[in-house]
Amino acid sequence: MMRRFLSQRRKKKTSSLIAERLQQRNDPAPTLSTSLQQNMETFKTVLGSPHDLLIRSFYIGNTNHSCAVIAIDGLANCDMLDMQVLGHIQLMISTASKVVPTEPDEIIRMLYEEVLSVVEISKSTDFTKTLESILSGDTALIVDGASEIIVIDSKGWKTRSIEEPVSEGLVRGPRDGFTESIRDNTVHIRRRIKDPNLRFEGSIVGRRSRTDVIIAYIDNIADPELLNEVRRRISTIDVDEVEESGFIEQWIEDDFLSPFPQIHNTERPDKVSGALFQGRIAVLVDGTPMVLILPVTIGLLLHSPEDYYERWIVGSLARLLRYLAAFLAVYSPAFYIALVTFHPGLIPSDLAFSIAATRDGVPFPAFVEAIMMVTTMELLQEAGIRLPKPIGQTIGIVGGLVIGDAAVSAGIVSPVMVIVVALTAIASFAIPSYHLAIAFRMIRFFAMFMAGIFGIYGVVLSFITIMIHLSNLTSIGYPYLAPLAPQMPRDWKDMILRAPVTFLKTRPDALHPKDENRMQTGGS
Amino acid sequence: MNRQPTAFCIFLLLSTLLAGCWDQVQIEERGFVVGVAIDKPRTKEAEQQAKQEAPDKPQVKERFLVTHQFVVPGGLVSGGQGSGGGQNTANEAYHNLISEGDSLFEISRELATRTSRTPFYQHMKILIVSEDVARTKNGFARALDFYLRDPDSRRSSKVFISNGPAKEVLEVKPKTEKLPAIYVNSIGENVTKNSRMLPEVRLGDVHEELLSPFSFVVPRIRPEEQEVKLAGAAVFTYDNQLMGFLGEEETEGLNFLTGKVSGGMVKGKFKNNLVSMNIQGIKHSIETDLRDRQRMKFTIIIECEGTLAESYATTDYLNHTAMEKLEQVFAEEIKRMSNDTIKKVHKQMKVDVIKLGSYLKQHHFSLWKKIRQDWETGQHLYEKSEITVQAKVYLRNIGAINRTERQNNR
Repeated sequence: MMRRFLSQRRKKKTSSLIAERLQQRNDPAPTLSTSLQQNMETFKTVLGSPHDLLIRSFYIGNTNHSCAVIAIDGLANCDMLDMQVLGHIQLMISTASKVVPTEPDEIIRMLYEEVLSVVEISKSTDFTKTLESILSGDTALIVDGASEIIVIDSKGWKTRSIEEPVSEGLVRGPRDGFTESIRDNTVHIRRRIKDPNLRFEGSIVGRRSRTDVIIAYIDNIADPELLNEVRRRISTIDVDEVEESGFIEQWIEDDFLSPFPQIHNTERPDKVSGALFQGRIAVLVDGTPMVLILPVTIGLLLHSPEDYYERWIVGSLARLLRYLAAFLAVYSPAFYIALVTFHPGLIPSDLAFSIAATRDGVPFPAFVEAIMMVTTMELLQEAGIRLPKPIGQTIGIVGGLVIGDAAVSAGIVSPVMVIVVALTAIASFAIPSYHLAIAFRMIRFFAMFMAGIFGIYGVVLSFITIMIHLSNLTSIGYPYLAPLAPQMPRDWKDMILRAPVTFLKTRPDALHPKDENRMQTGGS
Repeated sequence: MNRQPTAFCIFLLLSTLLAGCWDQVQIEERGFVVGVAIDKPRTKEAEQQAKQEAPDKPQVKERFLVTHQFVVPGGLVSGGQGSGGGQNTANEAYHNLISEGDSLFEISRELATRTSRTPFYQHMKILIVSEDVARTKNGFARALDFYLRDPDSRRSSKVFISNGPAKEVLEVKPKTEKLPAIYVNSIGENVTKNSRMLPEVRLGDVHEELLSPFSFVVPRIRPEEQEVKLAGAAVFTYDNQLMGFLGEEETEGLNFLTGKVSGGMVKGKFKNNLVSMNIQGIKHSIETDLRDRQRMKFTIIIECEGTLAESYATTDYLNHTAMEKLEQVFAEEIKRMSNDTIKKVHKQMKVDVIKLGSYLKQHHFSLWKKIRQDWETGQHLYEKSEITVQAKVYLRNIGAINRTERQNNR
C-alpha cells in the first residue's frame, strides 16, 4: 500500500527551476536587457541584494564602454578575478594597445576570444541560467549594450583538506578519504581509474539547494539496465534540499520499511573504485564525503577493502570472523535469554549451575535484565557519538564502571549478562559498515523479544523471518542475498571466503556486468 | 478493505499472548536434580501413617524411598561470593531431599510441597537403584519407568546398582568435588584408566536392555563414608531381575570377553617377579562353529596392545625372546581372568552377559530366528554351548628405561 503510494508520488515530474519559482510569485520571468544598469538592477532585485553579492562596474581599457562583473563573494575566487579578468580588461588592452571596437557585441567577442585568459568560459543570453551559474561560484561579465553575457568559471571557495576517513579505518590501505567538495571527490576516483570509459554523469537535484549529483560508472562494465534505472530514479527526486547523500539514498531505495540498508555509503575512494570495477555504480553528492554505492549485496556490506589488500588466507579468515560477528551481534542476547529461561538443559551442567549461582538474587527475569543492559549499551553508544571528543572518553569510563561493576555488585544484573552484552557490543563493532550494524542493533531487539516469548523456538522463528525478508529484499532490483539466494556458484569465490587473486577471474555475476572477465589470460 | 490486516494482527497477538511463556522458568528458580537414588523403605511406619491418612486408598505392595540431590548453586561459588548466598550457612553445594511413596511421579511432585525450587531433571547425571529394589520382580523396570517416560529427563544419565542403600551414595562427602553426584559421575568416566569397572551404562542403554531378551550388566557402586567404590557389575537376567554381582576381577574378565576394555592394567608373574602392563586397547573377535546346535562352539579371540608399566624382574627387555615370553605371561593372565568369568556367568549364573546371543543375532540372523526362543530359555542352548578364549598380547614398548637396577645385583 505504502509502496504504491510512494511510486505515485515519484511519478510526478520534476520540472521546477528558479523560473518556476519566480512565476509562482506572479512576476514575469526576468530577461536580460542590453542596458548594463537595468541588468544590474534585475540581478539585485532577484537576489534581494544580499550582503555577499559582489558587483563591480568599470570601464574597458581606456575607453568609456562601461561593464560590470557580478559574483558571489567567497564562492568566486577573487584573486583569479583580479588577475585574469579585471587586470586583463583594464590593463592588458591598453598595454597591448589593442583596438577596442565600438560595437558592444564586438567587444564581447573580443573579450571572449582574445582578452580573457580563462579556460572555462561561456556566453549566455538566458537570465536564469546565468543566475544559477553565479550562485554556484561563476562570475558574469556584462558589457553595456551587448546582447550576451560572458560567464567565467571562477569557482574557488575554501574546502577541507583530504583527511583519513573517520568512519572506516584500515590498517593496510590508502589513507585518503572523500571530502565535501564533489570536484575533489571525482578527482579521487579519476586518479584511481585511468580508464577512458570512466563516466561522470552530472545532474542537479533539489529545487532550492540545486545540489550537484554525479553518477559515476565504467561504461563497458556497468549493466546498462542498472544505469537506466538509477538515472530514472534520480530523475524522479523532487525535493527542496539535498544536504547529504542520505536524501538521495532514501529517495531511490527499494523498500523503505526494511531495517537493512539497500544502498551502501562510504568515504573511502578505494572502496568506490573497487565497486566501479565490479560493475556497480557510485553516486556522488556535493557537500558530503559520503558516496553512495549501488546496488548492494550483503557481501558488500560485510566485506572490507582490506580483505583484498591482505593475503587471501588473512582475508578469508577475517571474513569468517565477521560473519560470526554478525551472528553474535544479533543473536547472543537472544540465546542467553532463551537458554536461561527456557532451556537450561542445553547448557553444560557446570555452566548452568554457575549461571544459576550468579543469578541468585537478581530481581529481574533474564529477559528484562537483557533488555535493560542492551538498552544501556545503546544509550552509551548514542551518547558517545554526540559528545564532543574530550568528554566522550568520560562516557566510556562512566559507562564501563556503571555497567561492568556497579550493576553487578548491586545485584541488578548478573556477571554473565555483562559478558554477553560486552560480547554483543564488540561483535557489532566488528561489522565494517556502520549502517548494517545499526540494522543488526534493531533486529537484536526483535530476536530478544522472540526469545523472551518462545525460547529457542522464537530465536529460530526470528531467524527464518529475517532470512525471508532478506531473500525478498532487492537493491535497485538486484537480489540482496546474491550470490547465496539466488544461487550463483561462480560468485562464491568472493563471498564467505576470498579466493586468491589469481582465481578471481570474473566479476560478480549478480551485477550482470557487460564485461565479465577481469583477466585477459584467465590467470596463471 | 482493512479487515484482512486487522484479522492478521489479532491472530498474531492471540498466538503470542495465549501461547507464550508457559515453560518460562528462570534458571535460578529451577531445582537442578543431579542425582537420584531409589531405595526400598526400611520402616513400616510411613506405610502405616499413609494408611491412617487415606484408609480407602488401594494398597500397593511396592514402595520406594527416593533421594533427590538438588544443587544449591550459591554453594558452588567459591568463597560464598554473590548476593543472596546468605541463607546457605553450611555452604554446602547440595541438598538431599528424601521422600517416600509408591509412585515415583507422586514423589517427584510431593517435593514441590517441600522445596521452593521444583525438580528439574535435565541435568540428572546419575541414577542409583539399590540392590533391594533391583532384586524384586520387575522392580528395576518400575523404578526406571518414570525417568524414561518423563520427557524432561535425559536418557544419558548414568545408571548404577548400589551394593547397600542407594541413598548413601548421594550422602558421601568427597573432598575433591562439591557435589557427590558429580563426583560419582566423574568416577564413571575413568574407564580408560581401569578395566575393573564396567563402561558407563546410561538410562537409554538400560531401556534398550530392558526391552531386549538378553541378560545384561549394570555397574555396581559401593558407598563408603568419604568415598564410593565403582567396581564390579550387577548381573540381570533376561527377565530383568537382579541375579547377583560380579567381583572386580570377574568384571575385568567380562570386559575382555565383550571387548569393552579401553584402558587399565594386567599383572603377571615373570621369572617369579611381578610385571604389569598398561593396556592401550584391545581388539576382540568371535569365531563360531555352529554345526551342532546343541553344542555351539564359540572362540573369543582377544588381542591386546599395551606397554610395560612396571617390572620387578631385571631382564633385558630389548631382547626379542624375552619380550615374547613376557607377552605370553600377560596373555595367560588375560586368559585366566576371562576363563574365571566364563566359569561364573556361563556355568554358575547361566546368563549371557558375554552377549553371544546378540552376536548371533547380528551375524547369523537366519539361525538366530530359529533359536531365539531356545537361547537362554527353552532348550537352553547358551548353557550347552562351549566357550573358549584365545589371548594374544602385543607389547609395544618397555617404557622409558630398560632396567632399574643391575642384573642379579652384581
